[in-house]
Amino acid sequence: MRNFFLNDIEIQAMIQETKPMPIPFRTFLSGMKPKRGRGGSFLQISSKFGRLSGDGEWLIYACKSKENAFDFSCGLWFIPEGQARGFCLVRYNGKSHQHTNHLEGQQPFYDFHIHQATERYQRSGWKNDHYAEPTERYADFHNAFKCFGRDCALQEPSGNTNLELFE
Amino acid sequence: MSVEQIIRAFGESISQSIRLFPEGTDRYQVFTPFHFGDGDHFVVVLRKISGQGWILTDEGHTYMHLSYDMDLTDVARGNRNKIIEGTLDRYGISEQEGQLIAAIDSDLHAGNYFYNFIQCLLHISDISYLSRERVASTFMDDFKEFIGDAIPQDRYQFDYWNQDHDSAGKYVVDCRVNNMDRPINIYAIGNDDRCRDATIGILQFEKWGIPFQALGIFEDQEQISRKVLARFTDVCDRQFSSIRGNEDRIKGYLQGQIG
Repeated sequence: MRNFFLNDIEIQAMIQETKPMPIPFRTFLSGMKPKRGRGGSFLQISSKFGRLSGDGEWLIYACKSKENAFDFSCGLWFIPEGQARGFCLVRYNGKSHQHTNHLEGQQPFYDFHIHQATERYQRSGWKNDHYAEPTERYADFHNAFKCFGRDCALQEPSGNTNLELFE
Repeated sequence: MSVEQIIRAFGESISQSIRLFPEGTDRYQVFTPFHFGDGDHFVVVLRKISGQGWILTDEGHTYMHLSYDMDLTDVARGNRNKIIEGTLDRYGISEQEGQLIAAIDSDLHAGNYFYNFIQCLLHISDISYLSRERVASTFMDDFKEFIGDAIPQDRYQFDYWNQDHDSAGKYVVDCRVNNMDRPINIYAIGNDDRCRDATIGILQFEKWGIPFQALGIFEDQEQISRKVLARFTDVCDRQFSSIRGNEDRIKGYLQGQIG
């Protein structure tokens, strides 16, 4: 991505901005499927849709391993107008691997964790969404998606934002 | 500090950073210091398979992780696929439905299997960081693959030039869609030079008075300098800024044109 930068305030605002999905939550998740070949060991689904302001698009991506129920991710990308690649804002990961926040000089942790883009990591040369914190808010994919949907203000075409209803 | 002390410190540091964490029956997470660019460590699992013995596997996580930032169909063909196949072959790693697997055939050499497995994961995870030159060389592969999916085989020809007006083949069109009153000249544009060549090519076809439509498909339109792009825009009928993200639009446009 060329010269696209968000400060921490902008990142937070974008995460909390209402996002009108083109399909209901249940339809989105029931569409998860493996791809042939190298994508064969996990289920995945993505949905790209416009921003309410008309400036750029959102991309929501969810995946979960067929081998390990704790290996999953659901995340939100922002795709600026005219650009091919997205900027990852948040990603809700499972507990299948350790994570290290390198700028903070911390020891690795092994837990469910949430990545979020930050100013400092953009400036550092690491990936935008390098920073992650462990979480106790979920312990499986469906609850991770609920947290993700609530935090990112996902909205069904009907206007519903209640993720409790989609199960 | 003596070199012996340094070697001992290296060994202690490395051995401390490699740990086994039991998780299930005959299954261990192998914690290593190796990680992707987003701070997530590689998934390395040591598992015993009934009747087969111990294996190292990533349980498909490496490709799943790559899928956050790229379409995995991009690594299933062309130069990226060749790089991965070469890596698997070099380190003796097998791949089953997207899972990377190394069978540990000998206790004595378990360390070597582990080393090779990590090397393989490092190389494959680097696919997403391919250099501009390496990525540029895969754009034409991607373009041709895309055209093959979008248009019936008898309706297009790669590397076309007009035999009547250009016997020397100086004005090559990357892909020509035929059997139309106004055939489509498709230019695959990866850099400024290609964009300039496409502009000149389009002007030459106009000069010859040949009916045609010009379509430009960029690798990344944002990378083309403004003046070069401006000149191209003046002569090109339709443009798409990239293949990725525009697959449906481009296919819809082409299928609408060819009928």
